[in-house]
Amino acid sequence: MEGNRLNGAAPQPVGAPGVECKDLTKSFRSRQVLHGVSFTAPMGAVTGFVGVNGAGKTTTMRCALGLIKPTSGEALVGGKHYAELENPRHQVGAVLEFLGAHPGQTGLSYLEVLAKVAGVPKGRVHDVLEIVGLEKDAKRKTGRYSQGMRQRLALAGSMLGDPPILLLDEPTNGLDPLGIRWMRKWLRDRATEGRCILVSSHQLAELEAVADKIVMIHQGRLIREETISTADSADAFVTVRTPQADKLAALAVTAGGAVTANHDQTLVVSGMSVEQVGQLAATNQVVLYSLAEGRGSLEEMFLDLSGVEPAGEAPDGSARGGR
Amino acid sequence: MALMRLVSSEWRKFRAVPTMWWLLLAMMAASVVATVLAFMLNDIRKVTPNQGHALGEALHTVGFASVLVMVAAIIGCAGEFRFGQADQTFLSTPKRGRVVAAKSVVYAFLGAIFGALNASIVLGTAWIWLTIKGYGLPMHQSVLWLTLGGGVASAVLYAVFGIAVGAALRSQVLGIVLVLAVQQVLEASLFAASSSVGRWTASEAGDALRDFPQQGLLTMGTGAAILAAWAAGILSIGYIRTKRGDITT
Repeated sequence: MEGNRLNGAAPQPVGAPGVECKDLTKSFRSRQVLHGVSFTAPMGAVTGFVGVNGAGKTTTMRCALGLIKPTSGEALVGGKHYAELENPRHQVGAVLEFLGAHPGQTGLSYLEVLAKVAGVPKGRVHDVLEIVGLEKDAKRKTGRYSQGMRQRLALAGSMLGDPPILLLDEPTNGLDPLGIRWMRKWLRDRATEGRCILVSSHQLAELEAVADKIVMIHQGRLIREETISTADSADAFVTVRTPQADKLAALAVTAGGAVTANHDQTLVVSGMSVEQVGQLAATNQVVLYSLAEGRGSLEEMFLDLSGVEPAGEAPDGSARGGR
Repeated sequence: MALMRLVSSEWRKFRAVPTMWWLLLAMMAASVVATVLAFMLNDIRKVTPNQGHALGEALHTVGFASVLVMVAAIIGCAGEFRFGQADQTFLSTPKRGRVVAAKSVVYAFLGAIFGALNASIVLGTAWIWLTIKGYGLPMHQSVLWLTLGGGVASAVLYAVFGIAVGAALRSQVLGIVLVLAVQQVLEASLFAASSSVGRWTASEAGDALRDFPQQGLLTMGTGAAILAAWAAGILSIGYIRTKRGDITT
């Protein structure tokens, strides 16, 4: 099922910008949906583009793909505007919210049409069908495909020209857990090959496991752009249980940490590593019952930054999904 | 080369959509039935069916090709926005004007095929009917060849007209309903009210091109030019909208 070749020109080295949005704004009549969005998605990495539904992810991606003209600013793929690309299927692959096949058309016919206009040999159609595991269903009408099969077919279409840059808008929609797991590995493998993968999702937990970089957007504004390692350290914390909570809290604050005291003799220290907290306790002869490091989830980080409240209250009164 | 690939893929798209084949079958069936009905009407009116006005009226079912190829063209163009195919089309060909050009070429060719096929069916039906009735088909009469030839030319222009409407409106239901309402009701009413004004409309120009035996219509050549002008005018609007508009399926 896996396996790919990278023969579609990959002029950019790993780390170079694959997709670049520069101060992108877009208004539909009087409604402004993008407010100066700027970020880059590098080659050789999976960049997760996250935000709630209606945040502006699809509009941004469509701007990058030349389907929507930005009101101001620009979006470049491989250093060029999409419309300037020669034979774009060989340079950029895309999965959008609709498959783009007539329901009466077979999966095979759908790919053959795309291949024909892209100047891709017919044999490649069978290659990509094999990559996504649809070779047995290729002659079925797309109207009879499950949502997961449609997503796989869309992925196959995006890979026809073996492009070095992939823009995938909510590609895990409708996939079952096995499909999502398959997709994560597929994305990782493509990035390992040196490709730039920009993948959007409103399911933040899905991207956490696979993304190298996270771009967060909310109400058309960029709210965070960071590599996962930076984001991790910024959101890391240390949980300590000690009978001398007051003493350790005072010491941690003096050392530059931020402390939240919970009940049951537990402190949550942020701004310090687990080693620093342990050393501080040892030096000052503070007894520890437990010492552990942790970090907030991407979802929690997003909720913090966007100010979005979780959608409802659980029956016991605790917030759903919130920290 | 790129345009040829695009034309080839548009042709492949047409072949892949079953609706188009149903339209073709519908055209063939409707042509036979309508031609027979026209000859039966001639029988009732007790007119000689193989000459002049009566023959021209019976052969006018050749116009079915024009209407059905126009509907096919609207579906072929506006239908792309219904199922999101437009995204994939313009991702493959970001120079969007080429897509409209390629669709126009493919559907004009299809118009010629639909038109020729329909003309053959009408001719065959007329030959069988007139032979059974003991008249024979008057192969030497100009009305026969002008009507059938005009039918083919009309189908070609109506196909381009359909692409133009599809590109301008981007909605196949709105496109089909609007065009049929305008051509079959509004323009027909206008012609009935004032032939000197109404004859310049697209549908009446089409009737003129198909040599329909009705007073007040333009000549065949002028009808062809006016129908072509209508198609070109609306195609320009569709071209500009496709080139400049956002694709937000």
